[in-house]
Amino acid sequence: MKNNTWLKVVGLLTLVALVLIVNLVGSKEQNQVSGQEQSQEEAHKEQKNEELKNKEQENKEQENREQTASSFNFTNLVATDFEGNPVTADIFSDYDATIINIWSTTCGPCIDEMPYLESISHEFKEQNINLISIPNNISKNDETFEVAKNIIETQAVTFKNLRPTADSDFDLSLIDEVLGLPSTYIVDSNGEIIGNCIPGVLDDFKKGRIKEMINEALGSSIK
Amino acid sequence: MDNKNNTRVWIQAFTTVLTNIHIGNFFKKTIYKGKLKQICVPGLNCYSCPGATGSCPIGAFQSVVSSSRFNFSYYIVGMMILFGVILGRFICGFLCPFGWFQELIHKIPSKKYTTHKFAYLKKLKYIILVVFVIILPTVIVNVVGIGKPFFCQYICPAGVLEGAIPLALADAEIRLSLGGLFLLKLSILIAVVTLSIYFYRPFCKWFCPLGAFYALFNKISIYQYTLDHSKCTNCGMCKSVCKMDVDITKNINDKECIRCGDCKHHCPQNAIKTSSIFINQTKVGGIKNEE
Repeated sequence: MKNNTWLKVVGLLTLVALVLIVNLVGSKEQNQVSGQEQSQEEAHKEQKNEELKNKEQENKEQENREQTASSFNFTNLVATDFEGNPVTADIFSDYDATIINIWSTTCGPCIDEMPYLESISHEFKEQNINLISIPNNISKNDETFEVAKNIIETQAVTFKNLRPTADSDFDLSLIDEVLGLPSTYIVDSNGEIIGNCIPGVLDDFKKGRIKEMINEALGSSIK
Repeated sequence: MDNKNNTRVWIQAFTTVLTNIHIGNFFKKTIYKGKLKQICVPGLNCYSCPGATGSCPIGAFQSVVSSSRFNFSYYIVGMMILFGVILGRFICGFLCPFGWFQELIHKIPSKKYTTHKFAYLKKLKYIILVVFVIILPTVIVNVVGIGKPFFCQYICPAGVLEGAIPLALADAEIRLSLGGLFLLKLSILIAVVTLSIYFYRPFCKWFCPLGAFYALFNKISIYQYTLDHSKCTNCGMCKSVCKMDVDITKNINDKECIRCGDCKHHCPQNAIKTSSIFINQTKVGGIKNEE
């Protein structure tokens, strides 16, 4: 009986210690790597880990949760479109706001929602709001890039899709808020995120949310 | 006796915390997406639980069979077989967070009912495994050949409990977008919780595809129960205390046995023992002869 009690106490303490270690030290590092691109990222991971560790140290003084999220933004966009033309944050400047849809070639719902995105992209364009799309698993992998090309062809997508440039400052895996795919961001003409990240497949309700958030942030009155 | 059963509760609590170690994520609108998510935990524990340490075997299996690149998920199935071969349904009894959840709900004071007369429902879990986990995600695909995780999407109450509810609480946009699908699955969760008050582990008995999978391994798993026939007096105590409706004297490797140990601890003759197939070979053989 006594032995048992000791075992429980020791076990409990170990567990508490483990939980604390994982939550206080580990979570930031681990959260950065998105599941899908992992295998291709092996090589870059160490490098990134180091970068992130540096960042972490800088951030340590103000350890609030906005910190990791704010380390990612669209103002440092470095990418190419699917024809190979370079794209930077200048792409945002022609429009009052840009809706950015993050997807992946392995994500079924993301692909299923493309026709809907296509239809709302025209609707938004009339109000000077652009819609673009960025797959999160193609920057370092030519094979998945080809898959992505095929998918947008199959789905007859005409809005712009971007391929983030590998090893640039623009690293989608740093997004902390994205819980799953697809997810949608809105940025202003400078590329600053406005409103909340919208998780999941878009529908008419979420289209309404997008409009609300744009109107709220820009003081505009799009319908 | 009590002491031993206590140990099981401790193990259940430990594994539940270990399986959901990123507790901080509950407050952060995020889920852990690191390396360990490539590995499955043994029990039914939603990948999308903010705290989840690893993937759910059932979820991972569906996501791999439904992807257009792989038709069969060897490494997930390999991992599940490994768990099954070592422990069988011991996993259900000791390591599954959702199993423990149902047990905790069952502690709510009320009249408790036996599930003997619903024995035919036990087969349902195999149908769910074959149809919703294996066939539908593989067969029903979209234009580019990607299927849906049907079990996760339309049935799994653990997903609502661990994924949808905590994430909706944490994130306003998720909360706003909850719709019909959430209502469907919330109803399933409420049904399971309600049933759990009156019946012991209803989801494990009738619906769980993971339990169904491990059930197939009870007979051959390394972790085994043995019955000493020379000690057994056929008093029937083991059968009467078994909440999984198993008569262990008839079949020591019953597919429904979750190795909780109630029979072992209640046996007045100490005739039921745990062992592994490596030791006690003779006894296991002896039982087979009896059969």
